[in-house]
Amino acid sequence: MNNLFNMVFADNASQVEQARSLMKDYMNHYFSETRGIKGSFDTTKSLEEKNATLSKLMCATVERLSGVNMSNTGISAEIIANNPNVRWASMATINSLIDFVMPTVLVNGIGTYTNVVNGGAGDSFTFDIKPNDLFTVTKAGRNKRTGEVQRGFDGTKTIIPVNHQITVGCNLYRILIGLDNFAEFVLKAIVSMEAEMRLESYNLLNTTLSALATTPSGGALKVAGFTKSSAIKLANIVKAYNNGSKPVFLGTLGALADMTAEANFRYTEDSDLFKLGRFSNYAGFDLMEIEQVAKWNDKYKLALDDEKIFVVSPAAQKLIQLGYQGSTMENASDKFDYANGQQTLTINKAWGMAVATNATAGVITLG
Amino acid sequence: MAKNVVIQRSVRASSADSLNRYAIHTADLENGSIFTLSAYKTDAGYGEVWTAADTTATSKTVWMAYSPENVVVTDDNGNQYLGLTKDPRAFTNIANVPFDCFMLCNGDIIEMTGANIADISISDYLVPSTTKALVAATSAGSGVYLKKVKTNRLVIGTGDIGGGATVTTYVYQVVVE
Repeated sequence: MNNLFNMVFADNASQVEQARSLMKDYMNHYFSETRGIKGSFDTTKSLEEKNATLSKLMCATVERLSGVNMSNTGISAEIIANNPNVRWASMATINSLIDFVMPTVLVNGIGTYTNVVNGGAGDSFTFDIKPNDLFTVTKAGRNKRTGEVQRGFDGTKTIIPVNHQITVGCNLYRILIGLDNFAEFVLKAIVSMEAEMRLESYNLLNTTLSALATTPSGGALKVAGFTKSSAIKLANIVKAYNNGSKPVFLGTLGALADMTAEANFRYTEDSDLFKLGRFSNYAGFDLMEIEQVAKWNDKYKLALDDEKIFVVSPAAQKLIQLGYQGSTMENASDKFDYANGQQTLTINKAWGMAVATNATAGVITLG
Repeated sequence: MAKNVVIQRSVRASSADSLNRYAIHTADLENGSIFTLSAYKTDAGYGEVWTAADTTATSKTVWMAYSPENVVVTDDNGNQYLGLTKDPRAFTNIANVPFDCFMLCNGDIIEMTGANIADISISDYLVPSTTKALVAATSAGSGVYLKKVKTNRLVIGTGDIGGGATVTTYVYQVVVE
């Protein structure tokens, strides 16, 4: 996917670098203002100014790729916009930016428990999974040349990607004459797909861990209700069975806020509990907040479960594997394809995900 | 359906070439399947390959299938593929293809998951049947039999949370009376 980005912007190396840098800066700035996610960006320019700069670069790229001079030709912009080369170049630019930006955006959201891998068109994904186990040691005498043979076996997990699609009403003429903002359109498509991926990944994590048995038999990975002792015990189980990789308590703010202190605990206004609404560290284990996702089809409800706290080791093998298949593919309608003059743009992105790990994780259910 | 996974914990065949042979059968055979070998396959190119034949309840010279678990996946059109999965529970010895086997000897220690052996968890013995399978029994047989000496576990990396599938295994001592 980086190759696609390079090919689109590769008039020369400096132009590639400029495009990457501008897009990253814009993205960090956008997420800082809209989600409070920290990232480095140029603070001397406003988001609107960066919007305009990025749109100008994208239009210049479309001109270069299409080989069509879109200014000072005496031909109206409306007719130029219908040029097949111009339409192709616009979509190639959008696709390359989506493929460039998406992995970075996702890592910020679900990177604690999801690993992203890239494949080509038509690829499926195979993961060889090592067993999380140790061999048994026996006391021995001196005169036997070998002990009894023990063996270990890897397993295999596969992922078949599924196509995902967004169709939006997009007017190319309005984009090229500045009535619709090119950069915002790209970002909205990225945000939509990113939200969907985050939701799919979270739901997979939630469903899998919720299915763990609660019946303790020396230890359980699913604990009902929060208590200090049970939370610490669960974190230590996960740590021990991940070979010492320290876990974090992972959940939405609504869930993490339920990790309460003991009775009569006092805190000041400058404490994390007051400022963040939750602890940032509990009994030596960090708390990591998952951003809530809007449930757009059920207004003002939230998609992520506020009644679950997950215990995962970020440094151990990621619990979920997310495989991208190929590059983003678009399907743009022609000017008069629709009887009612509608123009549509469909973006196709294929991905698949599955729990494929040799790590241990746990869950605390609050409700 | 999962296949049997076998581990030679301590067997005489580790030290003696003559206790290891190649065999062939007209149907798929899991590792852990048992049979007698009384004749070489006569077709050209199979000079050292023996033909697997059914055991009886009193058989004393018994061989067990035990090949490296390189899984072959066959599609609906009969095309075969290697390398698609490492899970040993998917492995079987393919029909009409030579596979490895070893003779069961008195004192051998064999471990197996026992998939497809009914009642293995509640029975203390495995005895030959009149097919190429071991069957669970509550008493020793009169030929070769396997006596359960302990229960163990085998963790196979399946990708599931918790480090993989923990499969119960059964450890047997081979007795030839």
